[in-house]
Amino acid sequence: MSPSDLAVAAASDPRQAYQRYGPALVRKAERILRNPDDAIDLVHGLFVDLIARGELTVDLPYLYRAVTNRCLNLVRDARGRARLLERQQPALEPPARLGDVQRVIGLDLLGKLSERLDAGHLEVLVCRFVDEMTQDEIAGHLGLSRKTIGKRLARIQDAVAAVAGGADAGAAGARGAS
Amino acid sequence: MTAAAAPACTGEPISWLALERYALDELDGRAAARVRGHVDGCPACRAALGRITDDRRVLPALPALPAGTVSRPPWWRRWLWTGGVGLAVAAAAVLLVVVVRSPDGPDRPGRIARWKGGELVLTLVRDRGGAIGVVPGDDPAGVADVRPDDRWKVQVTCPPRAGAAWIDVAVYQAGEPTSFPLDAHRVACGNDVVLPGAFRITGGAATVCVAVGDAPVDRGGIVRHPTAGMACVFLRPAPGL
Repeated sequence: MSPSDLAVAAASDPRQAYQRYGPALVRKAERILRNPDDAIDLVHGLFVDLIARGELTVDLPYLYRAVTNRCLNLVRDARGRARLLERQQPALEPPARLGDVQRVIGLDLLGKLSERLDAGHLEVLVCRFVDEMTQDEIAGHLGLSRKTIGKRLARIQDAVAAVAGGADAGAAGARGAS
Repeated sequence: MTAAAAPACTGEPISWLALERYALDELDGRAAARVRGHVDGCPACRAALGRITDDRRVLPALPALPAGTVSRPPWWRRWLWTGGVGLAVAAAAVLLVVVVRSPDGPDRPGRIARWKGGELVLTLVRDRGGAIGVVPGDDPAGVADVRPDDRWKVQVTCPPRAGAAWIDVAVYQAGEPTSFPLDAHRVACGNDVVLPGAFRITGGAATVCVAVGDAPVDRGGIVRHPTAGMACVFLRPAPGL
């Protein structure tokens, strides 16, 4: 079976989608949650729910969004966030490929930002600073205009600056995205 | 913010999603070549790709599928195999759509419709006794429930470069004829464009869909080919109903 055949089969069969995309989704969840157990639980739970709901037509970009939103739900919840902070493993911190001024968003900072930003902004934040997408990719991924993405990133930068300024005026902030 | 001690990308990083799709061989030739070319010259992105290809984790098994949800090929593929090519082309021409899925089967339609203007994303806004909710909410895989006294409005997002689009709303319910709760509207594309008017849904579970086209969409086609090429949201009855 060719890769494209596998992708088609996975897109209409949750078991194949789980086998094919599960590891990628766990890696993504790990980059946010910073521990493998919660990441695996989250992805497993996502597929169980997809089956129960009859949502069987899925592809990787769609599942990426679902994982983002489930992770954010966990992070937004104060008790869930406290538990995640206790369990996070520094070794799972992803490399900061965006460079010095646009670094990886940590779990603690993401939690604080979740108190200042709505779901739409948080999703853009994850796309840019966790998934490291370009603005064009984010626009395509979320079905929004590039202009909207730019505006949301500007607000995100303001929020990051406010949080970083409150906690540590010298902390690096996310300043701009291409 | 924190940063792991690793080299930064030499330019704009290849996103993790693109790297994952590259590793799965799901990118088209041009996109794959772009990734390959970048990774060859960028140690940071090469290391990121290595984290993907070196990952050998095993995930826990999924539970057994409940009865009735065994997957099968999308209906359009079965149709093509049985010789319905001409009819499929005709239906696509009427609705100006690419994506088609069955209405009630396991492969339920999604909330994105594609037409030649681009992609249209459907969102429903529910007013339940003054409490406003957006459907789907945080979870794009989610479904919402419906009560007879809920008031619903339709929001769509489509690329401004598409200019204007004709939108028609259809409601499908088991055992009921297809209903059109709003007049068809020509809207200027943009983010979260709200259609004029609101409606209620009685009779329990429903699939609310929008059809999109450059001209008013033929309602006969919407009735004959439920949900085909449309952006849809499935609503289940609220608990206790």
